[in-house]
Amino acid sequence: MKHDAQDVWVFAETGPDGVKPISLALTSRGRELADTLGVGFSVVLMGQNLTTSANQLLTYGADCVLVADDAELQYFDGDLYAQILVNIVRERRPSFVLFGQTYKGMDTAAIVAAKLRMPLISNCVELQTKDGEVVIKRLMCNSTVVVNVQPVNLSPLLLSFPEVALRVGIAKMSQGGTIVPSEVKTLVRDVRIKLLEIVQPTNGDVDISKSDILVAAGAGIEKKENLKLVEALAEALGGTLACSRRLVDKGWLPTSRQVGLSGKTVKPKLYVACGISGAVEHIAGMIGSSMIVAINKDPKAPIFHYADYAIVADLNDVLPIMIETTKGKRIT
Amino acid sequence: MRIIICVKQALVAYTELKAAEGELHPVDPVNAVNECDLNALEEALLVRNKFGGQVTAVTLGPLTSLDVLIHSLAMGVDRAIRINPEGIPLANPFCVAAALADVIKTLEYDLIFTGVQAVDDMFCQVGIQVAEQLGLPHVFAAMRVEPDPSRQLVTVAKEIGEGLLERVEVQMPAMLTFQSGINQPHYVSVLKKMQARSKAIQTVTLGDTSEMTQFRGKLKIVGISRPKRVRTAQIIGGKPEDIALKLLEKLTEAKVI
Repeated sequence: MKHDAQDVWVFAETGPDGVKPISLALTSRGRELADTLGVGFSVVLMGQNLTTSANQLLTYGADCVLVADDAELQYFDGDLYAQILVNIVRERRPSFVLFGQTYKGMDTAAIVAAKLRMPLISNCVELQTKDGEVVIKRLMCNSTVVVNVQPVNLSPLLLSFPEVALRVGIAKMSQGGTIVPSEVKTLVRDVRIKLLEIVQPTNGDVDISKSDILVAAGAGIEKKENLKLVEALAEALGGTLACSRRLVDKGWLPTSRQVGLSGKTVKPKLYVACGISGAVEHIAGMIGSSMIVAINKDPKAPIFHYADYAIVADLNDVLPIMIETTKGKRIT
Repeated sequence: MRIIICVKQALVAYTELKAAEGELHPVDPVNAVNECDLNALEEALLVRNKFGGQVTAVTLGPLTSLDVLIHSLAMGVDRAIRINPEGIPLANPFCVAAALADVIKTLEYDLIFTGVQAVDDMFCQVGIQVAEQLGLPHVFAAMRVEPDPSRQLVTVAKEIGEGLLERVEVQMPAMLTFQSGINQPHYVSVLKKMQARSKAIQTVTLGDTSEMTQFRGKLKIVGISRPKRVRTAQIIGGKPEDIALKLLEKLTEAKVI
């Protein structure tokens, strides 16, 4: 198979359960882009024992999986991952490199950008190409607006996509792609960051990812006392109380209740977001919910773009009545 | 300990946004110190107060961003520098980082602190790009920091997602980019703020460096739109009683309760 300069690349991540869902979704997106541009499509994968993951990526449409498989890469080290990626980018000269907006993805992408002396175009939601011109839509201003940016003669284009901008990846039949081991040249490792330990989250009182109904509170509840209202609604609905990062930061609830990139990923049947504005990091953790109800007094809150039912109202006005009504309904 | 804190003025509210001449123009802008930068600033002051030393705040922005430096001085930083944004392509995070790095390399420091991302630009990379351009190691999404000046080391707890933390040890000088909400920035009295207004703020105007000329006009904002709805929400309105009843009806219909 031919691999030209100008290809589209995806930087993929794996975990104990195989390729991360965001990377599979990104791989589907990369395939589409490569087809539109009429170029080849490769996925770069780093870590240890990657055969299963590499094969999985082929079924998601990669023409080629560039694999750096080495015991040295077992734990993520941004410096090392970025150096390997930069080496193969310089060698093979892709036109696009797409990253998923995770902790590892962003760390790697930003280092790669600096080493290539390029901007990383982050928080992308869409990419349009027409007659060789590229227009990228990216979120700005707390996700309240999308701006179109036009890069001129920037190559490779380094783009990162938050999970909210990606659809669940679709496996295709393998098109006979290849796995190409990439030489992990024993890079002279100047270990600048020494990993001491990985700290597991303390198991809280409850596992919110097991609940069918979650009622989540965000900074919009304003006062700690109002947490009682949200909890009462959760109880009335037969669900569990969850929250956004803000409330954990304030020390109002433990990390075990936190939904989002830095907390838990949940997929309940019903997710009621109370006073949550809808930062992409939070959405990433709850977008898989079957039904989303958003209650917020700010009609501009991005959370409404992800909701099935939107209630623009003050929580203090609606929650008490919702609790009463729900309780009443349960009894009858 | 000599700490540099990169702090940014961020647009936190507006009534309308327009795009013109490659930039965003907000109507009725409300600006504030970018939230996680403020947390990073508080952390810098805590470290200085414990180990001694000096904290220097650096911002890149227009004259209105003097406010964030006045706020920083009122909180207790020792020195404040504003980089004049003229000629710097602010829509390009590489250039923003290059400008900051250009000024920081003229200063003395053990640590550089900043927030993970600005809420308005949402670049989420400037700290890392500054570190790389200065040849420094960095820690992304720092939560807690324990410096050990005698060994020129700093131990940092950083977030790696899914509730996990990593504890790492880094040689100084180093860049730490902090998560929001890691501390409670201390209250600044009106009096302190008034006093800070009379303190000196240095302004630096950078020459036309190759980075800036190379990238001028290469990453323009050419349009603006509302974010696309991922799901089309049905609006439930009316009096609170009506809202409660309607929602309950919908939930019962869908058999989620």
